[in-house]
Amino acid sequence: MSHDINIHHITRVEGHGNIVLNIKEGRIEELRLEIVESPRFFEVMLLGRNILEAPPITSRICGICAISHTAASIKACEDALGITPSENVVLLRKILLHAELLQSHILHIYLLVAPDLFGEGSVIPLAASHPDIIKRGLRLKKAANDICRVLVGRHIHPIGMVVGGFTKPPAVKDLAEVRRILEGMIPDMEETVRFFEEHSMPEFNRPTKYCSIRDDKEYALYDGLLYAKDNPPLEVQRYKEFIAENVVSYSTAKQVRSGDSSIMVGALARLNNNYASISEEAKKAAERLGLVPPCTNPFMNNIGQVIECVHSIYDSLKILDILDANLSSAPFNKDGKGGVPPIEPREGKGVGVVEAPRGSLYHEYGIDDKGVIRSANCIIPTAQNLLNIEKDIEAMVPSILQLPRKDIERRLEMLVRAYDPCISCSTHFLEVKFIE
Amino acid sequence: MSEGRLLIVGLGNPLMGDDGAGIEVVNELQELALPEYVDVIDGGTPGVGLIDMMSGYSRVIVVDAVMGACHPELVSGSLGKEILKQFQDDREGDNCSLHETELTSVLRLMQALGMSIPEITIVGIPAFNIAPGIGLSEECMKLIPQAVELNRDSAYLFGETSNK
Repeated sequence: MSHDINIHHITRVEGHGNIVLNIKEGRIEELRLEIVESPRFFEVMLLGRNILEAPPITSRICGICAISHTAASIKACEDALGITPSENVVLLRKILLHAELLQSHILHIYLLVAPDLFGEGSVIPLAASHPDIIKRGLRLKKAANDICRVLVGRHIHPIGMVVGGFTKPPAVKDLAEVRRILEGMIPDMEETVRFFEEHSMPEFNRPTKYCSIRDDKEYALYDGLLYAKDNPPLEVQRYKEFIAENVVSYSTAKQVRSGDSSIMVGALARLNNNYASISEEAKKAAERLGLVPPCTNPFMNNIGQVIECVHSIYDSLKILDILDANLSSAPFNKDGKGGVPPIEPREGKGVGVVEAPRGSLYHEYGIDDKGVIRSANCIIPTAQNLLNIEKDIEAMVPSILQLPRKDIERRLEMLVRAYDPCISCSTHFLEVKFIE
Repeated sequence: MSEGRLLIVGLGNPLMGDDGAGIEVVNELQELALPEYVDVIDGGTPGVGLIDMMSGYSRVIVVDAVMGACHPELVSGSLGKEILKQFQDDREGDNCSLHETELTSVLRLMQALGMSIPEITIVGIPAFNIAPGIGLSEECMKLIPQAVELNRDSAYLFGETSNK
């Protein structure tokens, strides 16, 4: 069998990606996942600016992961400036990361994954044929938005999260409102688990290196050591020993490796690394959904997202219990005032890593003695997954070549989409050309 | 809760040059004393989050950068029901993703779900340079006062025509 398969994607402003795949006599002769979007040079924009400007600027990098960028940026700033945030500040940041994870995962599983399960080309026809499903997704999304709005002023590009703390600490009534919203999400989340119980993911397994942060005490999203199986856990400041970026000629996005291996980051990687510390409610969901780590099927990343949503709701409620107890005996800030402590600039370097919905997000800044940024680096989750997606396509294609062309196209789209990359959108418009 | 209220929402990414024009306009509007029935939001790049933002408003003004304008002038107009009808045959509107959800896709989704769609006016500011970088081009900056004025006038007009 001889095929030249060129899967081209032409899209609008963001996320341009192509898959070039040439098959001759059943063998892959050429395979490239090309990312052709313009490099955005966010790091360059930070140079020469005061370090305190970094969080609000980097929050605009992404309309979905704005809280993660803000949190990673703040952590890098605090590391560079030698600031240790209070326990309450950290707890509130953790709730915000949960809320963003919910916003992002819910949108992905309902608006991009669910149409595949019904064989629809996009969410629009699915919304027309099954409005209740999409309305449930939008209700959950709105609830997660509302948590962010209550805590940091708006649902994306947070205003209240700053270096050192929060410009306006939440009042007791705000925390009660967040609790009410979270409890209100539980029935829809239960329906979500049931919905995915009724649908199965394609079967395809390829073990890879699963990377995330890890914390012995909890399911790590905000803090932890860099972890992959068989690697010694590393402090985040040593991230360059953990992953390495390299440039390839056919892509404007850098490729990331850990040692000699491609890596996977995101929900499945986190579950594979940290399953023992996830909440009991999420474990029950994982068992119902058939995802018990270690799992090497990248399509199950979608299911991993459902499981993490369950965890985020219940873990947020647990964190609220701690915050409520703390606030019953003392004000949010030790001095009883709002705002953040004064910040003294100093020369230094700082690294901040958090788990964004799509995987580990790294920010690193170097500053001079006036607090001016002299070096900056930012590694986003999608860049870390790209090489792994390429390897998965390479491994999967021989086993699906006998399928009708339409099914090959759909299966490849679903595979790319399972990683929930910033080019998810692109895979809806793959133009597949078969030349025999 | 927002019935009878007007929302002015600026969209765009201030890290992408003139794409941040809508954000610049709402930042300036937020400094003005506007009637109490007006809400002004820096919407950023909200994707389907726009559904929540618009929810309950009877009228929405979307302020955004526009590409491909022939003249350095503001583009303003209502998004009438006939345009929404055209979406039904417009497959481009199906490009619903997370990062690239445009206003048209959001409206198509709302339409498919049978949600109530507010009256929408677009105020488009021609973009001369959409590329990574903070700050508007000089040509784009010149149009900001006019866009602010247009929005302010529209806000007062809304009050007069909706029996406030």
